[in-house]
Amino acid sequence: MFDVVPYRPERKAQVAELHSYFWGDIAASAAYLEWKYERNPYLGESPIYLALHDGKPVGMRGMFGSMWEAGSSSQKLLGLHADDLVVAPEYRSRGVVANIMSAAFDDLREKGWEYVFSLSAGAVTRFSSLAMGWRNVGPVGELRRASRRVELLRRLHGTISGMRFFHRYAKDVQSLLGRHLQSDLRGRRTGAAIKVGARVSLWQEPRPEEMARLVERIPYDGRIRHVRDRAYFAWRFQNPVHKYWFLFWEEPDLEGYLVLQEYLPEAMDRSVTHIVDWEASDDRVRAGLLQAALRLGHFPDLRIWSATLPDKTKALLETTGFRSGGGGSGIADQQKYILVKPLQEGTPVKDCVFAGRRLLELSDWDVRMMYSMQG
Amino acid sequence: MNRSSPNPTLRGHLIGLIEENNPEVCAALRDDTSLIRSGLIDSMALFNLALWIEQETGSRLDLNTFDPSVEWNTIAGILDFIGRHRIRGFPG
Repeated sequence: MFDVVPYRPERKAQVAELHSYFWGDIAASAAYLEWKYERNPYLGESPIYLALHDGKPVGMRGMFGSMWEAGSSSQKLLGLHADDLVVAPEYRSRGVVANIMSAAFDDLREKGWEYVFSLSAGAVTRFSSLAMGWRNVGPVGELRRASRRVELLRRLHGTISGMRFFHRYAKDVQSLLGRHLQSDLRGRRTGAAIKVGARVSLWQEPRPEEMARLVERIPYDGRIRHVRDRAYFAWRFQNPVHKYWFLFWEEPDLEGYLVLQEYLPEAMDRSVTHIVDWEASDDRVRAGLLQAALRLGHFPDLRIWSATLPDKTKALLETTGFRSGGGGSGIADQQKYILVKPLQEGTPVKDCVFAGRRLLELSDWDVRMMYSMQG
Repeated sequence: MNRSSPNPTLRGHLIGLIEENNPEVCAALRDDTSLIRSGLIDSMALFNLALWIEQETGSRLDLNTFDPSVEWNTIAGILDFIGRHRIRGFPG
């Protein structure tokens, strides 16, 4: 058994060190945790639970504040988003996760919280969560647009590596492949906006006020989604381990935006670019933004969540080369899933309703990668 | 496999897998010992167990169709689950 205690500021350095198992950089972990748990726009300080052994944190799970909305009158629900599950390697498979989660749920239940959400869990955490009573809403439907150049080089490398006379060239192909494993976005260093079309420009900073106004102006179908107000946009893109680029469509008011994201830490997959949010006042603007993004240059691996997109938007993605991620199926499926944990014991599925929308029904969600820390 | 007489080889493999992933739990393991709800098996050990069960049944498991905390909570429950889900003709 381990003692489970809430995070206190005097443990900041210890917790950053524990968290750095994610990407091997204590300073990056400290900045990330500070942004996510101390400057959250809805809770200010969000809870983190720590498992202690001999007074030292050996496991952690964070719960940052998230504000959801649904229904015709945009009813709001303040929930918690479970994330940052870390166990020090020498303490894994010793019940640390079960200890933390059980203590956290008891504490949150006592404090009156109704639901905890998870949109970022990998396969291991997802399965552990389901075994602890989380409900599976469904997969996020990740689509990928892989670069043909990269695919060809990968195939060529695989083929010649095993060939008798040609294997000596495998290193050259590998080096060529390495040069193609980063998008053309990463090289862009200018701080100023760049025109990429008659009405589209590329920015490196968000425009929270205008983005929020656009979201508010566009008709809303009432499905469950994260609140995207000025405060959320201003906070969300300050994630210190991600880099974001913003395509804005203006005529002259903002009529649409598309947000691209890549990881900064070397330990993370830096060949991937995500479309984390994409909003437009009509289909013409939506298509134009996607075309503008694809014209930005080379993307080795461009990804988007599609499970709750309208059919018309999915078709648009397909015609521009996006395909199902193919991350496997069953237990080891690599894509993210929406998970919900009702904190009141024995809550029947039919009672997991918010503003008339079913929390456990994927068709009642409008989910975007930005709501998850994957993006 | 017959539900009333669990396959002893499969049971041996299952205990071996639990031992391999978590040596500390094995001294007190019985067929009705709570594995998941008690927190004896979690995280990576649980995931490895899930992959093994998937392999033994010969099929991809749909996470929406069962509750692992109920159906896999004991050794007896896991063996029963495999027996019920194994694809007919799958050698296992």
